[in-house]
Amino acid sequence: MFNIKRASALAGAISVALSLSACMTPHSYVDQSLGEPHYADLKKPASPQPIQLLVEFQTKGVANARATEAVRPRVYEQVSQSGLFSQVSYEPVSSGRKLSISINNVALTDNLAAKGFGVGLTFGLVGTMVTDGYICSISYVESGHDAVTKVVKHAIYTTIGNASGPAGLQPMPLQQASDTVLRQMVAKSLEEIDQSSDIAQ
Amino acid sequence: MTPPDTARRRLSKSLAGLALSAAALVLSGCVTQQVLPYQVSVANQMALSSVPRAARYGVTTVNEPADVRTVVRSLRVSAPGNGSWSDYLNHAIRTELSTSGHYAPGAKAILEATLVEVHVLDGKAELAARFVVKCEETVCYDKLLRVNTDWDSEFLGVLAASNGLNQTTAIFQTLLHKLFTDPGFRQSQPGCDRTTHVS
Repeated sequence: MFNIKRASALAGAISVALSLSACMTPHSYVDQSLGEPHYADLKKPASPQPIQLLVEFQTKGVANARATEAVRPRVYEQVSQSGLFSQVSYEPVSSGRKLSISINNVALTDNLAAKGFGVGLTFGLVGTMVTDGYICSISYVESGHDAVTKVVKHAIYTTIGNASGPAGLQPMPLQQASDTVLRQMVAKSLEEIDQSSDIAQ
Repeated sequence: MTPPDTARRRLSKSLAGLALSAAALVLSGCVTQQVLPYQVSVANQMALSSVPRAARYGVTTVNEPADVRTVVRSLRVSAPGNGSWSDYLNHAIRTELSTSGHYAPGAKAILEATLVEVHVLDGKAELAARFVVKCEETVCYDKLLRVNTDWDSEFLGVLAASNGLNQTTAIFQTLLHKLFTDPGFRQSQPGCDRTTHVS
């Protein structure tokens, strides 16, 4: 027999769950330590040279083929637009010059699955914030010279459920945060390698 | 037959049907996922920077490995394209050598790779291959190289599977890193008139 009471209770529960699900939308915040790139500040060489570009994305130090595929064209575009090189190629160049950019995504918050599970169980009433660290290692290799290597670090904070983000930072979708972190890290890396190598000579 | 008996029989039939469906789902849950095509490793390119710039190698791979176990939870990990791990290794070597400028299909020096073992399980992986560098008929490098790795197994199956896929491509990079950093390989120049390195 159809039970009006039980049906009403179920409908109510679904409504509450749906209304609370808005709390489950993750909000991401980009650490403000790096800021936006200023390519105009780079020491541009009088006679830019071609460069071979190598790009790799790692997750916890392990090569991540799918992520590498996704970030490689964006890094390529950014290096090309920097004005430091006459041509950027994935193939070897006759001078043997290479620029390698390796980005490693490391979790700075332990036991993410358990935290996410707790947030899900409570429909977002219990919130959490996780921090993703990014370590960008850039190396410039030129024949007859020692390789110049620099490391730049960045972070994304993501809140899920009823948790507040870091003070002073703007919330944004995760994809936008990832794009921002990549752009800022690559720009800062190019700036550092420009200041510490003979690219501009 | 009394009404309760009929109801019980119907319930039993329903439960049996559910159990059969669940079993079928579990059994058919083993899906196959191909890894992405091999991608260049920055560490390998740095290692190949130490190989003389004039060195050129052709590449051949022979035989499929007899010992292949690539299952992470309910995910069977397979090589891309035709599913051949031997072809995957061939592509991996050519990718690394091309990117570093050391690959030439008609080169006198031929790097011959024979994959012996491919193990990728939940939380650990192992890979072994024999590499031979021949210059015409002279063998100037011949070694069986083996690498293994382990990682924390994830509680969630989807994360465990994703880790397994990443670790599969990564261990091929690691195997090639072992080859490219081997002093014996670095000295296996075209001409092959140096010491023969065999193990």
